[in-house]
Amino acid sequence: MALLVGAALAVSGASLQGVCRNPLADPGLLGISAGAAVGAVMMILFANHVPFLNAAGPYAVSIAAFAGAAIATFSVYSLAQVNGDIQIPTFLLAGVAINALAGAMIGGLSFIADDQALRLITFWMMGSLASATWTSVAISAPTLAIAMFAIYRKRHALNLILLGEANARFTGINVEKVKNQLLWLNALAVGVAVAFSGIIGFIGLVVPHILRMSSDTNYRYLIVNSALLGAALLALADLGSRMLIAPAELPIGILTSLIGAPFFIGLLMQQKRRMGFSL
Amino acid sequence: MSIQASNLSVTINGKKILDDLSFSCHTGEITAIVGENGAGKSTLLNCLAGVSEFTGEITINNHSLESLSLAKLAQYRAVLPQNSSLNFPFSVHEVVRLAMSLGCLSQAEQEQIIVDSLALVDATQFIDRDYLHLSGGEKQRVQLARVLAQLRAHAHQEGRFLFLDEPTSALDLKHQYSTLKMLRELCTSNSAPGIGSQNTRWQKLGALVIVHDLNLASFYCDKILLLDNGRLIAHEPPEKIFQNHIIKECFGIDVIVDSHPDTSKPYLIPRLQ
Repeated sequence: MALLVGAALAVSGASLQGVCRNPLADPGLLGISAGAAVGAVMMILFANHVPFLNAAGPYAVSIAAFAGAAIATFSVYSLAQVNGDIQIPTFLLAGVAINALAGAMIGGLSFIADDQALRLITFWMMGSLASATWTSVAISAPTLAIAMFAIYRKRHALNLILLGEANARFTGINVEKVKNQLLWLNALAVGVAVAFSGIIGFIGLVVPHILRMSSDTNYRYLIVNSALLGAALLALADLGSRMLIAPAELPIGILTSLIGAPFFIGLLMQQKRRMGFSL
Repeated sequence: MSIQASNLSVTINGKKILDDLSFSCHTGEITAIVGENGAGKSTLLNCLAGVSEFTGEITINNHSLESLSLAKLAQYRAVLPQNSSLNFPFSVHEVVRLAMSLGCLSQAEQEQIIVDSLALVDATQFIDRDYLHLSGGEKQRVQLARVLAQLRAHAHQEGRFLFLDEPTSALDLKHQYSTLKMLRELCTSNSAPGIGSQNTRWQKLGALVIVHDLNLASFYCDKILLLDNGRLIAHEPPEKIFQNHIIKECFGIDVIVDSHPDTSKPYLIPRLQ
């Protein structure tokens, strides 16, 4: 499960960075993961009262998480667009806003939740692979594989978008269509990943960045490498979270955030230095 | 093979940026678009490139612009915008390769086109460098190589055009001249310079180039398309346009016109008082 989720989050981060033409994009920071969590939590709460949904179980939660992720993705993206251009400050602020909104909604939902549901909600918020079973792998693997492969097929367009949307269009790429497809695929990958693992932050940010430092900017390699490194990294983190405070298990989202947040700060400072002005 | 614009107008926020332009440009000739800042040069180029809204009609090789798919359009014309920003580390080699879509050409053909295109802009020595570490002028030459590679990838295609928005704005004197000379040869010569492929006859290109140096335009362009406040003042060979009253009307300065001792092409120098 860690391999799958790690790969999906890393690929999602890599492609989002291309769509937004900014190396700071990440499904967690942009509120996409939080949006998915809202969807998942809602489904968990309401499924208890609706027998049909309860029977649908993990499928229903996945679909709800996907819906939540999609809403968050397109909200952030349309908020960040100023005159058809992605402005970096508005972009990050939009992520903050969506994260805040999602946080409030999850807070509200936990307030009305009973004890058992509350435990589940807390689990979403911290991210954990503890409850993963082979059933959840079987459900999520095909979806995530398809989403990642579809993103991989857009590698050439992603490269060209990095050169500028106008340049991509001049070279024959229908930029709007490709971006829309990529955003949907992102919502799908993140939604399903969150449905089974909760919010695991910073994988999507850190993995493509490490790869770029070893000079693999090209999406021909970046997507595949992101999937591999993301899978490896999250598996490692999973191992760490099980061993650090054994026999108890540290929620993996806490571990990745502990490592990822300082990394993000370093990235910010580096970009500030290079551009000569704050973002 | 030609590009034709008829009654082309662009209005943005109630202001006429382009006012009823009609003209045509053909393969085998290179046209300079000149005019004051804000005269509508870039807007005109964006309309022809298919990324600006306009009224009137533009046809490329007798197809109306709207009827062509983006992919088809990319075979007919390549565009160099005024500035291309790239924030990610790419090698020069990769930047040029991106001009070519996946799967159309063999790896070897692609490599050949990349090397040839970089040679045309005197950038062969940068091929393995990081694009972000290049100087402004070097970046501009690499971007031009990318644009040339896009058309090179469709070598069989007849009626291909280059739309270049200030390709020389960051170049030193030597490269301003060598770039224009190279573009002229791509447009007028049957055996294009530095093109290695022996098997295909070079299909002449047509080019529309925005430049600010009028002398550069005169020395290397067949025609000059002179814009003033969105209106087409003239679309004539340089000899017809290099007259004091025309330049004064469009640019507001007096000039002395003389002819170049080497080619007898006209050139102008501004009066200083």
